[in-house]
Amino acid sequence: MVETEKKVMARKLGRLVRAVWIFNWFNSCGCTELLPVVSSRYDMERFGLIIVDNPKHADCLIITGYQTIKSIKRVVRIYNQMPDPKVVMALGSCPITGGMYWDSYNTIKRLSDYIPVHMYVPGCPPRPEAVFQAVGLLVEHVRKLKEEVSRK
Amino acid sequence: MVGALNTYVTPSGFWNPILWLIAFLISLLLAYIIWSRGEKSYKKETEQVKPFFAGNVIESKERAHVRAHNIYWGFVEALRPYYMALKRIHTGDVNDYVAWFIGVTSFMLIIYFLWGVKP
Amino acid sequence: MMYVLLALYIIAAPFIVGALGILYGMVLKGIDRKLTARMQGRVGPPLRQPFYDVLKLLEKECIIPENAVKWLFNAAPLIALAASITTLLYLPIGPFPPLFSGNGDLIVILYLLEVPCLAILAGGFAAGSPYSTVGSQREMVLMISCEFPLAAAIIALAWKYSSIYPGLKAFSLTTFVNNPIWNNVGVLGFIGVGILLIVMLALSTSGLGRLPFDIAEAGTEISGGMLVEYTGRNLGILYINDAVRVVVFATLINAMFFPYKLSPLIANYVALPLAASLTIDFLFYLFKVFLIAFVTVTLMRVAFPRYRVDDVVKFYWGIAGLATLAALILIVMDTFFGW
Repeated sequence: MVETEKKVMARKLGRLVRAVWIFNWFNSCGCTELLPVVSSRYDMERFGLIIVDNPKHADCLIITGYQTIKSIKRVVRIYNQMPDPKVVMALGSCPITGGMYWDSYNTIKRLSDYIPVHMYVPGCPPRPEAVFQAVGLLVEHVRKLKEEVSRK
Repeated sequence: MVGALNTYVTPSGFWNPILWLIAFLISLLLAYIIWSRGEKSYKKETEQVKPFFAGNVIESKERAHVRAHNIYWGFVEALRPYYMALKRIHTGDVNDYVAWFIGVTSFMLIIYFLWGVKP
Repeated sequence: MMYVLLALYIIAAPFIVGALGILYGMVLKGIDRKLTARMQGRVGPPLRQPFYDVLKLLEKECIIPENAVKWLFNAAPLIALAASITTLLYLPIGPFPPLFSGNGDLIVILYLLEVPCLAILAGGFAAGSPYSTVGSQREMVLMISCEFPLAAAIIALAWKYSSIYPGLKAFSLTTFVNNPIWNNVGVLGFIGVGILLIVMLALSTSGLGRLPFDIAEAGTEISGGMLVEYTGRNLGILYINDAVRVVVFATLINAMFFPYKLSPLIANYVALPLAASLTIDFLFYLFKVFLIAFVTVTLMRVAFPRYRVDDVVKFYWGIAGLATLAALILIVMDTFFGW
């Protein structure tokens, strides 16, 4: 990437990770351990993450678990409707390899064939702390990017 | 013309519209300064400009049009006893409507002649 | 020379109140989110979170839908924020009189409270999406049902002032601030004004579009309602507008019902220079605004779920309307019988 583009991207991502807004596309069984993340025990609002109801307001699309052939069409449209810069997190082992439904006639086996995925969180379903670790890795990646840009 | 710049004073209040207009334009400037610091671009002609419909495709604008009489549901539901009484009264028979007209007018005239006319 | 100074004053005034409204509004929003989280047993975001939110929103792309009326869609948030800022020019900020005092009274403020709602409503219709049309229609229902108690409450108080002080202008906020309403009513009037205070607090909640009356921006029902097609910097301006309106409503209730200052109490014991007493009064005003915002926004949000559309109409035209009329009758009886 060109220098100024990298600087702009570092600034945008730096502002993004302080207030990531997540679109509520919580379908499939991979989200069962994600719902406690919203509630009081593993409170996610303390990191600035909130749930919005509309992909146009959101920065992060969390694909939890398997997607059927019908729902992946909607997921692709919703991914395209989100404004940049955006992040996709894939929860569970289903988006990675097909998971528990690896030989089903109806589900998709690899999410990265359809939309670009930035973060995979393995588990079946992944624990709430795994989601926090994923967000932490995102913040770490952005911090490294900013350091790299400011060093030049 | 210069009189329009003065404050309009009534016995219980005052109001200067020109001053408000100037302040509104300056506030608009302040809002525009904040607005212009934002990102201007977006991807035209892609999926982004389609309206959000839970990932489905809107076939035609006519099918997606929400009719305006939805507004009335809230009021009708809340005032349902009053609305039902009114519906019973509206029989559709012109003689009933004329009878209502004559009845209400005569009631108003009686009240006017008893208490409305100054000596 | 005087005209130059006057022109400079008129140009600087919206910036001053704009800075106060935006900055303190966002601080109040941060405190609100933190207190909501604590009341729900969570930790909550840092107090600077609304600033992070707005800065992030300004970095996102600003999408204009294909069915949208482009000029209205882009202008609606700007008009809403500008109208909210101008409303603050006619309200007394703590110990200071309104910056445009003598040029706008309560009736002006009554109308200016509606303009941001109307602007966002127009933007919702202009977006051309079915969800935003439904959200705008619900906002119309909310505004129509709030008009009656709001107008009746303000007219009741103004009538009370006009009957006690025939020489003063009844709708001017200076009258409200110099003669606090609680000192001028008897027992019946006390109850009446208390009812009006509760009605005005409920009207603030719905004027701000907060739970339990947030039918227009209902999240889970209509996916964001009026704001569904707004992204990026437009959404950032609407976020800031939301914060400013909390300060507007809280300042209005403070000016109408609690225009008290703290410095006369302290001046009984300690001699205060002018700057110190103004600072103490201003801080007291900020505290009062925080208390009113806490009651109307945070407590309501934590305690209540969302009302249905017809329940909102039943509340405002039924309960709140009858309560306002009862309060008006009590105030009239108070004036004529002098209890």
